[in-house]
Amino acid sequence: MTDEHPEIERLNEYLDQELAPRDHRQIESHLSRCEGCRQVLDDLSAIVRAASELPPIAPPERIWESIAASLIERKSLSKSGPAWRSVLLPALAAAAALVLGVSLWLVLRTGETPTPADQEALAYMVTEELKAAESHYDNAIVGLEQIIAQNDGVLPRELASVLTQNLDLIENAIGESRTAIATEPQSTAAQESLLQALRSKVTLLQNTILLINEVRKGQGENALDLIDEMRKTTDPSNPI
Amino acid sequence: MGSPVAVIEAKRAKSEGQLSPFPPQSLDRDARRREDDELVERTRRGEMEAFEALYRRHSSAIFGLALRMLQNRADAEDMLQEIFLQAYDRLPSFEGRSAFGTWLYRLSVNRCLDHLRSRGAREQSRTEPLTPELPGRVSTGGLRGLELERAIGELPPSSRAAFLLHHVAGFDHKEVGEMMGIAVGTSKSLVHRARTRLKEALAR
Amino acid sequence: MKNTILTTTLAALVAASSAWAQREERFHRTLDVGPDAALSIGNISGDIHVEGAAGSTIVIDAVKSVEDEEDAEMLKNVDIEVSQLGNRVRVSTEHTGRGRRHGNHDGNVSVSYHVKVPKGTEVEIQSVSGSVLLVGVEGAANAQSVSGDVRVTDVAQLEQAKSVSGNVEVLRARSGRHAEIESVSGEVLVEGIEASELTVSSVSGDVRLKGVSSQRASMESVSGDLEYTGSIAASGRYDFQSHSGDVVLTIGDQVGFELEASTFSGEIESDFTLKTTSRAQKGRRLSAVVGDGSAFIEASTFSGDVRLLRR
Repeated sequence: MTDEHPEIERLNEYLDQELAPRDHRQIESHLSRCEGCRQVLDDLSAIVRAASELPPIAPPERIWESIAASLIERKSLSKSGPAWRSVLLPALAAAAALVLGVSLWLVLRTGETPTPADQEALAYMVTEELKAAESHYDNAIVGLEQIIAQNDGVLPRELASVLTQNLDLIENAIGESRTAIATEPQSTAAQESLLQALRSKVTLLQNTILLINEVRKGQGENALDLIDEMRKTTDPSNPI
Repeated sequence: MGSPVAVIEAKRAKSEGQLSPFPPQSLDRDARRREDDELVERTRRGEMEAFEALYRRHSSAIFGLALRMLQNRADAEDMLQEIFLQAYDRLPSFEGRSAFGTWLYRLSVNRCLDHLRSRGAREQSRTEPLTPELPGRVSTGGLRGLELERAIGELPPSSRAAFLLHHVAGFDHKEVGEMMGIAVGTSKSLVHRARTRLKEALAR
Repeated sequence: MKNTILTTTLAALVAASSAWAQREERFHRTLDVGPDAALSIGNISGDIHVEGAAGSTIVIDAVKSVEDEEDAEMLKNVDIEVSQLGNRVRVSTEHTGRGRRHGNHDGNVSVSYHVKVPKGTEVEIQSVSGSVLLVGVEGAANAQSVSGDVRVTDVAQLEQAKSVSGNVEVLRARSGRHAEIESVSGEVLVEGIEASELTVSSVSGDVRLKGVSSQRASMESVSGDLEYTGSIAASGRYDFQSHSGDVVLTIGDQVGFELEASTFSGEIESDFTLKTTSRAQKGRRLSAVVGDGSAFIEASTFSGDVRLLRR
């Protein structure tokens, strides 16, 4: 090798210590005299260093959820060999579980060889989760409506009318959502709509009671009991 | 490279307000391999949680590879999903001669190369502009890191793959050769060429 | 509306005799308060305007009035009560006498308040049928009306801005905790808010927002539309939900976000490329990731449309 500037490929090899000792020494010596080539080497070094620091990139969580759902769906369709013990659950159950925030692994942790009856039972169980949430809301609603009924006529007519109209609106939303679920049980959009509408109803009923309270206070009546009743009805320990 | 995956996992779990249920990976490469082997064994026995643990341990590294290979977020997400589903399917025939991580990387890089080589994929990938989707968090002096990512995206597929496997994932040329089905010398040459191109791209 | 004449106490106010036919009575009171003052003001009919200002006094100007001269004698049935305990001042309109039986009305007497408070005052306003305006206070801010409009601007610690049938408008507000901005049938407008947690809702009114910065923001309506324009806080979580209204988001992509749009029977339109994430379901669930996907946006309706526009 002459003392001309080495080709960049040589510098790459030099950097990786892949050259024969004599070639290595020659380049080293050239570098000690050549700013330009040193610069090239530094650039290559910097690239190697920067590359080693490029971070892994966390993927969005829903990718795992998709993978898990696929595996579950796949299992439910395949005939599993003895090496692969599996828990069967239709994909819809997985999707519904995600909507309701039920841990996927909780649902999967039965660990037994499933039968078709199990499969159905598991699917039914997830619908049951939705029903459980619904009945929590329904219970709260019944309690609140009772309090309101006991205080009929307390609110000024105009106000009562605005509240009633909006309550009817929410009722419609609840009805539409229930119809949608009846026709498309797997639809998470329908399920979410129902739960949202139920939440809106509870909120409106609570606000109505607060207003009744204000009016009663204004009339010098003891209104504190109402708040207590309301709190009991919508117990925060219920997972609403 | 320490255990960046564990760090990222812990950070993510914290930001979601929960502790990660997955114990952090050992820093020692051999210990990590033994842990992976155990998780593979448990997955084979039907434990889904073990497969999830494998996903948690390796998905960030693989996603990084897929994103840098495919240069398209949506494609990389699909690819990640396909890779892990395929890994799951092939686990029964994984004999443990190589480490699970190596086996997974091999699967991943080949799928990515296939994807890049298919004409259809090339067309589709042009729908989303790449630049806004580059990984945002780069530790090496911000702008420099971002430029590097962009420049990597311009490397031809094989060079890109060899470069990422060798300098980002840390495999030696023998391992890279085995994964990509090429000779050791070819791997060296691809990596060198990649570095040369990157240097020229970044000097501009 | 500073009235320099009347600085006497309430007892000194003389109700107008019908011969005089005065339809109005003015009231004025100045109270010394220190820093960390608190004002609570309750009214039934009539507007309330509270404004933060320099100084360490609370200045109350009120006007009791009736529309018809013949109702003038009703003025004496309505008292303005002011009480002070340390730094805490309570002002309320009390209906005494015959009018009490009528519930919230004493004939047609309404009282309108204009109150100046030191900037750092904590303010709580409750009105039944009057509108409420609260401006420029840095203490905890709570403003509510039943049928009146509520407008809150330039506050530093918003807690609540609510109405039942009135409209609610919040401009340039901050909140260190959970801010609630709600109406039942009125419209809600929010422009420029920074809150760690935020709930904005109307049952049947539209909800319009611009420039929301929050870690956890929830926007809801049952039949109203939800419209958002602005950027998203990095690592924030924004939820938009309407049953039959539309959700229209106009978002810049300077901050990366992950987006999920879903509807049961409506349409989804987007400037961002969306991928289908739902399987075998009626209804559509689509998602997209823009940039580094650090923020999270969820837009869902039952029958309304979801429109995602790039700013």
